[in-house]
Amino acid sequence: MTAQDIKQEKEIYRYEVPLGGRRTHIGGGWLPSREEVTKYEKLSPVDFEILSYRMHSICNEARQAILRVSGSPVVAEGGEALFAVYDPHGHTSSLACGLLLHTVGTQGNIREVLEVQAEAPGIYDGDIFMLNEPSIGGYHACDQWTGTPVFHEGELIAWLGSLTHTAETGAIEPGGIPAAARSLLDEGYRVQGIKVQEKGKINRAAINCLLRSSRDPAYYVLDLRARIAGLNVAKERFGRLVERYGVDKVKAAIQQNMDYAEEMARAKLRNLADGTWRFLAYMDWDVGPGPKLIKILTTMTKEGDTLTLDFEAPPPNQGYYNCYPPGAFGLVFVALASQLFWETPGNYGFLRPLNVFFPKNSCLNIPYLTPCGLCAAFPVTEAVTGTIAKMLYTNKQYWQDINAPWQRTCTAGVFWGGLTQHGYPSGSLFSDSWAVGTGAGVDEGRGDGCDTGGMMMTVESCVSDVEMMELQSPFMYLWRREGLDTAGPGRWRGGASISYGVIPHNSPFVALGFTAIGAYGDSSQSLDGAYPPAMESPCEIARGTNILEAFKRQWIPQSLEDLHKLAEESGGTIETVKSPRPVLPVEADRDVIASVFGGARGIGDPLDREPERVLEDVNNKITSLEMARRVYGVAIDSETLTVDLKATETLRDEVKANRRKRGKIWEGSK
Amino acid sequence: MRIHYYLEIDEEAKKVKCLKCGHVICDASENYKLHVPRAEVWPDEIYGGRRPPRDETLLIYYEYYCPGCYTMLDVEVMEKDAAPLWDIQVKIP
Repeated sequence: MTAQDIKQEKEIYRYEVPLGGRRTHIGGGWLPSREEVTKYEKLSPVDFEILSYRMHSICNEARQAILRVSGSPVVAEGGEALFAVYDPHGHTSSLACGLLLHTVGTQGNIREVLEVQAEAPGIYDGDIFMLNEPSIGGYHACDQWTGTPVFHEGELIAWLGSLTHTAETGAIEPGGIPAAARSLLDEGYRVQGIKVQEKGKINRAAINCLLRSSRDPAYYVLDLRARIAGLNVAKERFGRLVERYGVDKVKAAIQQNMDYAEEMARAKLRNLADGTWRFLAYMDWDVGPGPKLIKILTTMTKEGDTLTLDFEAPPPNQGYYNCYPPGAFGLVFVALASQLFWETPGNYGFLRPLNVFFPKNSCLNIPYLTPCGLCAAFPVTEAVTGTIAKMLYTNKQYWQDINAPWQRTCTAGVFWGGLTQHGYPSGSLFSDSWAVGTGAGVDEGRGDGCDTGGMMMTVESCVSDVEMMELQSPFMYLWRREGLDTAGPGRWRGGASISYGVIPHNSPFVALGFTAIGAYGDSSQSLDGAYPPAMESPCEIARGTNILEAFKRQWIPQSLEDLHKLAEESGGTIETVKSPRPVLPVEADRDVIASVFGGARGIGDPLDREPERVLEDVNNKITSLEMARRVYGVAIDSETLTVDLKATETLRDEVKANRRKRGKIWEGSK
Repeated sequence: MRIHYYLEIDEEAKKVKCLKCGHVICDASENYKLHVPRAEVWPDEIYGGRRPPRDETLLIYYEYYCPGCYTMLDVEVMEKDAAPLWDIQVKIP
């Protein structure tokens, strides 16, 4: 039975290696039994602090090496890279994250290598294995992991692993996340443990297999070498750690780090009330021709020091909004690590108090070969974040941590492929998709969400400069700014997200890929009386414009309205993309593409927001005057930009009177 | 015990109360949404940003108000005619 079979059979998804395995020879040394690995002499608090911190520093340094070597904007600027130290059986002990979701998702990779390769060809010092198989680890084929074993005097003492989101996978469309995929086989090459380095020597044949499978070998090889560089840096530092403190202490620190995280997590859970919290999240498209509602209900039950997450989800989609358990579990981890256990070392330990149920053969636990490019996991993170926020109210100590779900992101016209202005084929995504709003907090915490604050699953993401995007891709920006009225209106509002417009430029061939969902219904709600944020605007393409003429007249279109005006003036057309679409060729210096992302979720009744905060948002072009009046009930003079307090009181009274009129006690479904 | 931005449970009386106006809504063991006014609202009634037009939307909003002060307690995003979601179910000993 393979690791994959085990995963699909298990209802509770834990990634636990059963205790009691025996000591095994794996080629380059011995793999200790689970009992040997987990038994250790507890370190003194000082030693533990030093060693735990050193391991974390090693991970950070290795991740920095990845970011500096990789030339890919997704990695170097988007920060989509991860480095981790694992125990000999593949449990994450320490990590530096750009991609929170892969922390536990990558553990399956190590188990796959141990199960499949330990006996033959064997696992040796200096080997580097590569995997990007979503049913084993990661969540789609773009998630490319390389790992190396660390031996000491003939015994495997740890694994080191590095991961990047590598945009080009040789899929049936450029960019690695093809909307046309109807099978995992359509989503590009999937490597399942080949040695890209054997006993310290690069395996050029293996690497060539990868490079020749990609449309973009230049960025591809940089990412691969970046991951290897990270492993080299960490291995050298790890060796020094063993030299200085002794192998027993380092082995103990790896285990104690996880035990410590588990203790902290359980203690926090004990501090919160027992109960059950629920949250609904949605997607609105499968493969068409019309929209389809995909509803995911999360039920979180906390009892004592355990937490159970039970998901109800529909069968797999025909398209790519699906997850294998490593991806779904990774997105649960994103919410837990950032919202509930943020003060706990991010490792496998804090997952031990968890029971997670993904229904078999649902879109969160799909059968092998189901496509999974865009994953069904965004609603999972939103829903787990929502349930955690509700639970945190039960202890004043944690009110400052309450956080509404962030913007879902990645659901607009974000992928491109073609020939760059430098004359070579390439494919990637617009990093604008990382510049989305974060969720609101409450009075004791952060209050408003952060505008264009970042992507929840990639907490260290930053948006590439426009100049960098223009240098690396065949596009020219017309505008990039915070989107008006995108934030979820509330007593504390969500963060606003980005709006951008580009033209393909200086290239004979460019095509775009569209992942749009969320045009037919809000993806989920805000909290405690706030309205949902604006949805993604459909991606708009103005075709056949005379944009170059407009430049000559010193006019640069700055909004969707300008885009429509430009199309009309030019005798061009507007094409609206409201659902996932296979790549669409666009014409350089003629077509204009624009997206406005939806915002993040707020908390509390918008009528409770202080008028001066609403005014500040109007001045900062986060909120329009009309939204201020109609949603927040704040009257602002459009000339003087001052609040009329009396008119505001009247407006708010009117809204409440309307609520009295419309509100009725629910008397059962009709 | 606070359970929501605007709601708390009076642990002695075992009742859910509004923190703003003190209105007692229901027993702590019940779904408060069954005891407060709710209004069905089309997303395109809410001004600003993009909201799905009513001839296209798959989901609508259900607003819930405190019966005492008419503070908005929740805006659910649901299928039309869906029952209120029991989203907060705190165990009171």
